[in-house]
Amino acid sequence: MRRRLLVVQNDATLRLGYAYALHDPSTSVEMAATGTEALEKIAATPFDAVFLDFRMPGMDGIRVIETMRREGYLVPAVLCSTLQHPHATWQALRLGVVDFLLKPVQPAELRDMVDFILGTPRTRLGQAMWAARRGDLEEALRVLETPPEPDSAETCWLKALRLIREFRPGDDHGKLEEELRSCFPMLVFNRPVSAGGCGG
Amino acid sequence: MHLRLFYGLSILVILFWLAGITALWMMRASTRQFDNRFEGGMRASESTRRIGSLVATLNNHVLPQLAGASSAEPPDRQIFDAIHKELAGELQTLRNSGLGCERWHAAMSLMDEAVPAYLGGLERYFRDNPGSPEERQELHRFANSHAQRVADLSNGTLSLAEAELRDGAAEFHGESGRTMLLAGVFILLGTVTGILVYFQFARHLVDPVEGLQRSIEEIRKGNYELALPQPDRKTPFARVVSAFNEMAAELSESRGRIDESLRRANIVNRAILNAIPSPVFVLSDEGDFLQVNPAAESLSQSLGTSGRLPTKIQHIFEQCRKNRSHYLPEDPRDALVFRVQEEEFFYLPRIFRFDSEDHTLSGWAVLLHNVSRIRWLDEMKTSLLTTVSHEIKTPLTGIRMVLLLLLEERSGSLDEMQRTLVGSASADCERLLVTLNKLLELSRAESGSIHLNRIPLSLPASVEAMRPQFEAAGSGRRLKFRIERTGDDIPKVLADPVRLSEVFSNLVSNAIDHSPDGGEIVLQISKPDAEHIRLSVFDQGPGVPEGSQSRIFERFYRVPCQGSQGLGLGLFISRDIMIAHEGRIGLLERSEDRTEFFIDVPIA
Repeated sequence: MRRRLLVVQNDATLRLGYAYALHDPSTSVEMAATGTEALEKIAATPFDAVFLDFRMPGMDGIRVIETMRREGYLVPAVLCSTLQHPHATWQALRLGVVDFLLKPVQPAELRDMVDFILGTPRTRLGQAMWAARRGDLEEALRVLETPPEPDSAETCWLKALRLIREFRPGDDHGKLEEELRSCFPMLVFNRPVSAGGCGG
Repeated sequence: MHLRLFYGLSILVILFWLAGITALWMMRASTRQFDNRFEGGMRASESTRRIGSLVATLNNHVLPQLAGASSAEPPDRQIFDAIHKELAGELQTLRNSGLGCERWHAAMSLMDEAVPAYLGGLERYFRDNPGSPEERQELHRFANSHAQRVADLSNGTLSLAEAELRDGAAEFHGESGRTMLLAGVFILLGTVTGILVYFQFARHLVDPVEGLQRSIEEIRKGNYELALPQPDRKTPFARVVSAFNEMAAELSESRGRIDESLRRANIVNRAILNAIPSPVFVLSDEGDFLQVNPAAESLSQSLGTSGRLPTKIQHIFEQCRKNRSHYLPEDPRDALVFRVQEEEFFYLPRIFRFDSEDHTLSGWAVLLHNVSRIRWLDEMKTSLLTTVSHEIKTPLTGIRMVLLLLLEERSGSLDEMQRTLVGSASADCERLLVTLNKLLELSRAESGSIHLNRIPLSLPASVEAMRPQFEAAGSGRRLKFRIERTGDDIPKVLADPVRLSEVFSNLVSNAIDHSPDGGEIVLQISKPDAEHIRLSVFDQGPGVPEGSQSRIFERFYRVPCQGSQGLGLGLFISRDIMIAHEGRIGLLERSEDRTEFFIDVPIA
């Protein structure tokens, strides 16, 4: 069965580039230039995964996900963002998004991400993410809570998922967001080896 | 002047000496004369009484014998002889009494006759012892009458002696009166001399001195035109007055010159101050206004702070006064905002302390440099930079994606030249993206203070959380990371975690770039003072060349010959982020072959 992917990106070249990068004989890629168009396409056809850009004119990536979730579409979403938008990451986490790509994205990273989401999980983190994507936070935490030597990404995910689980309506968003801030770079799929230091 | 004063006072002293000595001498002579006369008078009086008494005693002894019958035995003359001898002595005393008036000499000659006559008569009795009653009666009468005569003479002499005493006393009183008169005359003369000396002294010395004093007071008040009247004679004081008047004239002239010079300096100063469009306040060391220019007056009026510095400036000024240091910021971002008539103005306060060469005059000049336009231009530039960067970045990301896809050769292979061309374009794209990212970071940093989201956070925990990231970055060069902390009780800091992590990353990234392969990078957390927590990053690199140390935090500065790929913005942006945090960033002196960069983050 062919994988069906949706790329939501307002920049035409990038949109085509994403689509071209993801396209192969077993994958069909649809494109949407705006959030509204994306929502229409999701309503019309089921997708295996949706790649969204956070920054889009009109409806941004978070609002698209928010609307999707509200309308009952639990399709895995991949948010392409920058380190400068931790607030968006926190909002996305709360909407069940666990897949983040740090811009600028390389074509291979897009394909790796698709494999990570739709392929069979091979690592404990992959298993945990797979559970989290389905909304099963308890399972995801169970997987992560018993590691003999948790690596730092797992530690960060453990913290993030716990915060999501323990979040109650009325809690201070800002406070929880701040608690997660230092972890954000570790939550992205193509996490940076260096956070962009420059020569002095 | 000295001589005149000496003469005047000498006369006065001599007169008083003369008066005193004369009065004493006269009193002494009078007293001695009176004593002699008194003593002579007293002796004469005593002797006279004694003679009268002796004669009466002798008569009382002889007369009964004469009145009685005679006896064959010669009368006992023992008493007679004794009284005779005593009378002779008394007479001698009377003669030696020293009284010398004529009446006294007459009385004395009578006494000298009467007493020996009396004694001669009685001698006859004692010698002859007459037996006949007639002779005895004759002798009785003789003795009686002569004794009476002697007694009368004695009384007369006594009266004379007493009169002599009275005369002596009267004469003494007279002498005393004369002495007093003489002394009085001398005293009067002395007083007159004293008054003359006083008036002379007052005229020639006190009056000019008082005049001089008044003139000095006038000069002190600034009235240099006052001149002392020139005394007629060429006294020493006349020279003083002349010298004083010359000095006053010179002072007046000099004052005129100084006034002129001051007026000129004042006009120049005022012209300069008026020409400066920035508000300028000149203050004394105590903070009182000495001068303000029209721009400062206008600003103070608009802010309602006439007569004092605007409150924001006052705080900085007080700090400068406390530390006795200048405050001369250069960065327009250090400007303070003032709202004047619904419009915002940015003033960069520059506080300068001035001091005279001899350190007797000092004060402060406060210049408020209006950097509103610079700020506006800077904000425009930042905004433009952000917009342009974003506008370029989005299509560039697309182009990059396309080039990367072409290089993947998924739908068809490229020939060698095509691969080289697309590879080169892709590398250019990557560099352009890095540059754009730095420019965006710069824009963010320049507006960082506005968007800072500060929360209390644990610095050791933040550093620890970033450790894997640092280790991953350093793994290719086999770099080792060590995190140290001095003391366990590290309080939380107040910081924006994302912005702070940018600074950590920048410092560690620099340390990685400059470390030798296999070197060690130490992240040390300490508490340098009561208000900050310090994160130091030590590396074993060659260090920053001395000539570059003061410039590494400047915008777009890159250390020459270090082959750095950066834009020279990392430390600049880090510095801005730390300033926005009210913290510090710096490079410490190299020690133990290690370079130490540090940041001080305020404690929450």
